[in-house]
Amino acid sequence: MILGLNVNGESVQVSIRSVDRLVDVLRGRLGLSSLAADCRSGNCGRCLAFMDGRLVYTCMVPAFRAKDAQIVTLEGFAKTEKYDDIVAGFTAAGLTTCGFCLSGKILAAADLLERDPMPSPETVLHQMDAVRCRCSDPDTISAGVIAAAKVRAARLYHRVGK
Amino acid sequence: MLASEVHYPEEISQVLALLESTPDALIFAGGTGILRDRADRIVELPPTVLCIHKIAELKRVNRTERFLEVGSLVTISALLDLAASGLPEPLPRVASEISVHPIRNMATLGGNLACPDRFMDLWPVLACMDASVELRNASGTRWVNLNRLAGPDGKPGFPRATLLTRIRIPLESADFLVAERTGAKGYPAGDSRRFICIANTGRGAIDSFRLAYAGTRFFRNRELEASLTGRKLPLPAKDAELLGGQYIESLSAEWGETIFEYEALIGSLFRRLSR
Amino acid sequence: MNPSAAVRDQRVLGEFSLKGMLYGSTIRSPIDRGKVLSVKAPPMPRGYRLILSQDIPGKNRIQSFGTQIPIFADAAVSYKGEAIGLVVGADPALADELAAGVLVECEEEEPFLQWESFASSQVLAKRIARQGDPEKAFATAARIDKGSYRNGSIEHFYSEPMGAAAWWDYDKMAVLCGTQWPYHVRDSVAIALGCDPADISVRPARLGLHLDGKLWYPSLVACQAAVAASVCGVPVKILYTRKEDFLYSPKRARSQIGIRSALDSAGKLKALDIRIVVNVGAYGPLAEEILNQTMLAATGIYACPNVHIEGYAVATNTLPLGALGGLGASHSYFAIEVHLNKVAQALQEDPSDWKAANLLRKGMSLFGSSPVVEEAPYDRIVRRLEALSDYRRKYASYELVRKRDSGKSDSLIRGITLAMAGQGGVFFLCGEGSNSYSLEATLGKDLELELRTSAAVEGEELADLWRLTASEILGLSPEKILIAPADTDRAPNAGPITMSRGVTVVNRLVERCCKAIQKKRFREALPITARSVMRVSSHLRWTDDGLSGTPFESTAWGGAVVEAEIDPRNGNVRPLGVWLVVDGGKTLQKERTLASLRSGTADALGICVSEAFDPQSEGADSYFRYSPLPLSSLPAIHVELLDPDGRAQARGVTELPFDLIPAAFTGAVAQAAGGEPDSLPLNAADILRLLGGK
Repeated sequence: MILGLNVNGESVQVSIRSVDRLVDVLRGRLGLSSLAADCRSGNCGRCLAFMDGRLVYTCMVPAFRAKDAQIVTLEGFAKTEKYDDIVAGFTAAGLTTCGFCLSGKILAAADLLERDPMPSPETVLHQMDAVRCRCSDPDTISAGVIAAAKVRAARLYHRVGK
Repeated sequence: MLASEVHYPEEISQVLALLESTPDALIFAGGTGILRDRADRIVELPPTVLCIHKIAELKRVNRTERFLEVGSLVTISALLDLAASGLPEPLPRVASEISVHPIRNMATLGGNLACPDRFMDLWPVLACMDASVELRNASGTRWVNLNRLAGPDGKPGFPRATLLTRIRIPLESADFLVAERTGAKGYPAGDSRRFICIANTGRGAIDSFRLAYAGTRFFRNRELEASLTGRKLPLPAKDAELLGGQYIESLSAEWGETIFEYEALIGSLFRRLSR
Repeated sequence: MNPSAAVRDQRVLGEFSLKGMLYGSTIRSPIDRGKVLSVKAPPMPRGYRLILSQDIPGKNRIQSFGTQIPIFADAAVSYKGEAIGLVVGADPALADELAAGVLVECEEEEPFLQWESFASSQVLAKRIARQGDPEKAFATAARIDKGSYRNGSIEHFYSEPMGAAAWWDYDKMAVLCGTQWPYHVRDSVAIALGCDPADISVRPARLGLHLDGKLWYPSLVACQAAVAASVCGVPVKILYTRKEDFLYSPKRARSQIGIRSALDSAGKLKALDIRIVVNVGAYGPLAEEILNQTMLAATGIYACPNVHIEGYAVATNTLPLGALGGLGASHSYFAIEVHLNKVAQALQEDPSDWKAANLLRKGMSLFGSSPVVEEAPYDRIVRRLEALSDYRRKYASYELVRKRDSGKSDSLIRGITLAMAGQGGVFFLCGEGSNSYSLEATLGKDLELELRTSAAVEGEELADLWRLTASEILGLSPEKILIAPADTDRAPNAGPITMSRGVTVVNRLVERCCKAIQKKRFREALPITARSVMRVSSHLRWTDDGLSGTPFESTAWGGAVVEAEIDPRNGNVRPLGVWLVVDGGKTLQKERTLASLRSGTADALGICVSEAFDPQSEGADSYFRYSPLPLSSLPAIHVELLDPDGRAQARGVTELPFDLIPAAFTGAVAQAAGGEPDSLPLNAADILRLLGGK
């Protein structure tokens, strides 16, 4: 079947099978390598993307379910200032990752900051449970997201300093 | 590799027509329950899939003084957003404990209640709240108390070829709440179960008492609940022990097994009622 | 169509792709043990084919620490899920489906699944250590305690599932593979293809986090991919799904350790009788190393004049089981620390005081070894832990509560305990090409330094450490220090990267090379190249009844306090706080080390509370039930590094959380629940049973 959807602001038509997961279509057919089909069970967070404005595990979405959906992956999000805020925050906090989970961590942070611009460390960790990776140090993750929140706030309100 | 024929009905009537012609069609809403236990490269589904996420009617929310009516496609996240304008506990608490945010963004209330293999987290909560569900099939529409959708053997008994369209939740608050998870952590599977007790004890007596325990089977004993209603608090210690024992024996008799964690929760609940 | 710029990283196995590449899906044994009678494939579509052992041009085996493991099991299978062959084709999903449809007919034999009691034919390694006269000591002991302690299998959840890709690159077979040991991959593939190792070019894939799960198994998968590529003449990639990796790749070994202890009338440790059984699954390629480590750590950091220890590494017809976050010491530290905490508690003494009185001090001998020259800095570590965690006051308070509690209260109950352990890095893995570490450095005319070593597989954190070291010596900015890819064509052999050897061994090679270059750079023309080789000496050896050599050299020491809370209404146990104090010698990257210890602690807490996997009894559903601890369930984790106190060299510390946290957690639960937990993880039902026994 032909699936029509919008990916990172562009309309695409892609041939899919009913058995395909959205992550495999986005990654395999459309070349969006920020996503990885790893756990395939909604745990590791390496397939996270926004679908119709909501953060979802694209491994848990059959491709057919994404008909007419608006998808934003890291490739699209990376063009925004919000992405820069998060990268700056992570860097300021010294957050290093294994590399495989970074995309998921960025999008999970982005999703949280949309809903809660100044989250508590507890809220951050609840949100970041969406990206399960053994490289994660809870303190640094929490510090990274909170630092990103401050960078974002400073940008939005034109404040100098932190 | 089995390919499925996928339909995208936009009206409930279309779903019902498809269900009548293909009663074994899979109703696909959020799909988190369907995909959760499949970690292979592809996802094989039944030959006919009804992808119902476009049906606007199933996403409506209506609030009256006494009830909240929620469409079955309302996601767990959306349900939690309603908590700001008042959702009786322990419903928001249990809903917030369901998995993580990306799952809650896709998982629907209807999907949580209509799981064919087990009673998921919201089932015992809504059962104790005496919620009702609207079921539609080719024969018509009816409202059913959720408790009646458990089979006589205590196993899930959601009817075949039927669409769950709305859930009506009574907006009654309670002052005595217990909501615990027992067994395996993570996605509800195996021995994972929910223990829920909702009671009103405000005037020095038990005005209402509802207790449910559910996993692959559902337990609720109305007779015991009735025997507790009207009793003065605190319960005498001997009575509390006796009633707790009855609850334990009742579950044992129905399920043919003893569950340590259930016994501990019953014990602590009745000790609390006896203080 | 590419909605946005997307660049494939061809060093990430999941992203690697070459034109015409086929995907390999593994055909697996359906039985635990037996003979393969026939392999019957369903009709294969065009472009799909079967690869079996008869297609291997060279030898059907890899060699790992003295053990030979078949690349494809042919005559005999040794565990359920063992690879028998591959189906290769263009669509990985179709290849999976075809592989699942292959009928493997077997003649089943009685499998060896028992390991806590075992047949002599199952023993892969045995060690005995003796000191003094334990029989006499037990006969005259004032008090004897005993216990049996179990450690289960744990899943690594490394960053990327197992896999490998292989393709002809002109005259060489190129292999892309995430591995801790590129040269082991190279040599294994050479044997499989029957060619010279120089004909194989291993290009390590980005490894990410490995937790010691990628020491030898990647070589097996690489051989399978290389054989398929050789037969098909096109690139072949094998990449397990996460579920497949969970079910079929090696896990942490299981152990049962029985301890009997004797005290004298003053309450001092007089004798220990310890029996260690480690289940290493099928083949047990790390059996000797794991047993060596568990034996060395068997008595912890404590002095005992009379000791008898018997250790066995036992094979079973299950998944190969081996290393996770170290090579086995964590099993023993768990057992001995839990046991001695229990003893101290029974004596109504604070365990930290009791342990201080029973320490292995400088000049004492361990199992007949040369005298210990470096004792654990117990007092320094414990003082610091006490200050950070308020351990003493809390322990005393919780003891009072425990003694008064009748067991029928619904109030939350707490416990707190301290554990001590050491991480040694230099002793083990001293054979089979695993003890020689090399590094080359070249300072170019543009004053850029290139470091070349196969240890570069470990990734950017280690590379940053090397850059820092080189930068300090040569005065170059870190941006001018390049780490070459760890390809076997370019980088010299630096053995298996495990046990923090990237820090303890390879960083010293960086120092040596840079110092050599520094000496020459203003006298000789650039470029200047220096090369350094270090042999990890096997100065510590097991003899017939003990240890020869000096133990605990180059050991990093650590102590941990864990405070836990139990809800007696439902048996839920919650770690409330964790404090870790580590003496790891000189630390160049303090913040990174602290972060690494915190994440290791988080993993170790998962072992305590939720992670368990029994490869024998659980089916495919175990994948969905296995549950690492969520971040939101973690307590505050406080980690502190002690000043090196004159010690110049950095020590590996990343295993310490696995050595310390399980024992400290178990002790805290024991104090709170009043029982004697002896295995992990502790779930609510276990806690309720402990409470019920009060």
